[in-house]
Amino acid sequence: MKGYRLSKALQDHNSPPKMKQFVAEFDVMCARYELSAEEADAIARADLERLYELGANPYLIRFAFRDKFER
Amino acid sequence: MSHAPGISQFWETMAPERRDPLAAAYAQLGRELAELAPDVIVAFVNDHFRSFSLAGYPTFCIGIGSDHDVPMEGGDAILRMPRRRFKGDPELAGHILQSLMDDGFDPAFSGELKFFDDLSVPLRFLFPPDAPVPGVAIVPIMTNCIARPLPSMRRCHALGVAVRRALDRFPGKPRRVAVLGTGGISHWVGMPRNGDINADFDRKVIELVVEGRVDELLSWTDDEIEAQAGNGALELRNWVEAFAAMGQYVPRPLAYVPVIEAITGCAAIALDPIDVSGIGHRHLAEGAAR
Repeated sequence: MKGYRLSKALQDHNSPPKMKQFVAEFDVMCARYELSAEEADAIARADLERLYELGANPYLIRFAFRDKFER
Repeated sequence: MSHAPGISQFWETMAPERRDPLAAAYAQLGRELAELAPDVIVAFVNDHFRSFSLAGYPTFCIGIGSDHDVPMEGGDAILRMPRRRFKGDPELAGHILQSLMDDGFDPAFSGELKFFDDLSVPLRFLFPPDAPVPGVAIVPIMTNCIARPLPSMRRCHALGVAVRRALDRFPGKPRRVAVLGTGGISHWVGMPRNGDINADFDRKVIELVVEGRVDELLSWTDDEIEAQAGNGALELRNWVEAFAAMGQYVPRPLAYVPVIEAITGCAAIALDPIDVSGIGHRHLAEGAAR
């Protein structure tokens, strides 16, 4: 299913502090979730639009990158 | 009735021109519901990765718990509303579950559903928190509206019809049942257009409901809905199920406001049942009653 592993990575890191931890162990995490280079890059750049295009669940994008949505 | 965290979260600071019409509609629904004094509210709601996860995502799930915390632990601080414990109705919920199985649906069940804005926002406004916790029981019926692929709108309509059939053949002590459908309308959650509202789309939905053309909603694909009104509008499934469970009804739109604070097009529509039994009591609900 498109975006499943990417969504799973976001689900397991469903807040900005947890995403910070993901980034701190970036290579290990990307290997653990078997992310493609494209998916890893989208996370590294916090490119939310690209994450969505790659099939990440938008609710999980919102949780993981909540700080990018603050009004 | 629409739900979104911001409706509760930003209620106190919401601009009066948006809050006032909603407040009036919610107060009216609350008054009419109190007058009807239902024993049970069958609530068509949806999870937002609080009850379920990618480890397992049920298409439909019946809440069979004997009580429900509204909102879930921690939800009160975020939604800025008190946490209250509502009763469930395990007997009726169990009957609905079995009846759906007998009718060829295969819902999951849970006694540990976690409610966030989905159920908490409507209940905050239907039963203001400064009053004692109402005695009405809640039977939640969850539909996957957020982790595609989703059940088709037609399937959701059929589920609503089957829930009504279950209610009509409940062998236990008769209950007065109200129906609540909550979700949408337009909002983009975590998508590139996060924050947008498509008021034209929302008004079109309400128009279709008012004109009795819900069938047209059923033919919309999820790609079309998401492109026009965002992923949040996929929650219209809960509305469709409520309409179907109501059977014959007269829709009474009470308010529509594009609430920028809540990044959601917010509507309230009462559904007055056409009472086929001919009993002259005036029914209503937030969704509706019978």
